[in-house]
Amino acid sequence: MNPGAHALDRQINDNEEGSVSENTTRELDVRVIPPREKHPTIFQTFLALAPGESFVLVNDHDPKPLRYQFEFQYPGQFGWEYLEQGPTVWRVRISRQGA
Amino acid sequence: MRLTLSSAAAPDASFDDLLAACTRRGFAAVELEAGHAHGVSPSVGLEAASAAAERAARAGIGIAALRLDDVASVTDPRTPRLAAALGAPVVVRIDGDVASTVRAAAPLFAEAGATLLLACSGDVDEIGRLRGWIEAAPTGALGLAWDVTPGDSQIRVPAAVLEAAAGHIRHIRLHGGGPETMGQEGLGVGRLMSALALSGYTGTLALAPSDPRFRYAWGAWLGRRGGWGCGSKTGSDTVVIESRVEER
Amino acid sequence: MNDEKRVVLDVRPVPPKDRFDMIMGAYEALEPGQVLDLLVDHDPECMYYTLKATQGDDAFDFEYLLRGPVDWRVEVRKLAPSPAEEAGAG
Repeated sequence: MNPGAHALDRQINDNEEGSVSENTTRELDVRVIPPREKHPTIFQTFLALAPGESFVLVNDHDPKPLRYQFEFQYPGQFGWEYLEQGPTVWRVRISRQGA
Repeated sequence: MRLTLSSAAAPDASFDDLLAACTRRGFAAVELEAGHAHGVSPSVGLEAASAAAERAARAGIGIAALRLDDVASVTDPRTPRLAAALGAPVVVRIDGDVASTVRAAAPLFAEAGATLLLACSGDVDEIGRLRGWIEAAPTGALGLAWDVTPGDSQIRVPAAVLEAAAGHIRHIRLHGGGPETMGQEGLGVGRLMSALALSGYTGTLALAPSDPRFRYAWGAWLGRRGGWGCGSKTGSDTVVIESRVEER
Repeated sequence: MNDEKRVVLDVRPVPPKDRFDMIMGAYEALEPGQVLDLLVDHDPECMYYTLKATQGDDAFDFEYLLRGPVDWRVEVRKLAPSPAEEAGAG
């Protein structure tokens, strides 16, 4: 995209690539989030993704209950991939799938 | 995004104790505030600084930043050289009229291959002003740091702060988290973390006590027993950071 | 003997990373008919889904006694043995 191109065109191109490139890792570190805000924040972040996008959840324990919650509330609409499984830090790539 | 422990959470801990605390609690990096017992400060020689960086790297812990309280020290050429030896940016709080100081510091940092991060509370007008300085300076010499407290007015609008900063924020200091997490409900922490994630923020996020009265709780949370290294001898493989004035 | 055994578990002071094992351990230790009275500082719906997935829909009742805004209290009544118990000797 040449620098002289109209700003709106640049923005359209950026959005086509995803306003955050998929090479950029979105990391949601929930270890500092208070208990009542934790799951709502995770689901809000998930719902802000476009299909095909993902974020990495970072936690101090295996987020199994969260996974069950995703399975019941968003069946078939999410991906769950462990990137790291302790002993101190867990990282899970949660992706948004489907329409 | 690298979760970072500030030495403000354990100001009387040695460098080794800080690294051990980071490992114990899963922090990826440490923020060193000059004047604390870790001993890293502008008066430390470059060799000792490199040794500290190496020791941290061996422990798998990054050095997120060296935080200085005296903004005038950024124009001392030793400061950017120290930053380069540590492999970490310097962070200084920007209060008052420091434009000429920062303007003088930028080429020194550029020459040393280091970065000076200007710390503010996230007011978007101030960020706009600082952006001007950053973009007028050699690329990479200057950047932004955001000091944020749960419940303050800027944590309520994290997307606006990040947008105003246009990618220049490399370091954030959050007053809380750790043992204070459970008491910070409803103060904007969740929304902040979500905004950071969605923006693709890849900088550091350092946790520091929100008030000195929480220091005991932080010490306990980090695994302090009685005192840091209380009653224990320093091991022979411990690097001692010597404070000395370097001849220029 | 028909006195209902009620295990009261307040996990509010417990660090989040230790809560799951504590809650599941307490639930698994219940006999059918017994109750886990759980006190927690957020909506424990994820525990509801966890029990559904690991114990089965019909294995338990899950009733809210308190729904925030600061504390939640749920009464989890075990109706059937845990799958692990069923698999073991009767």
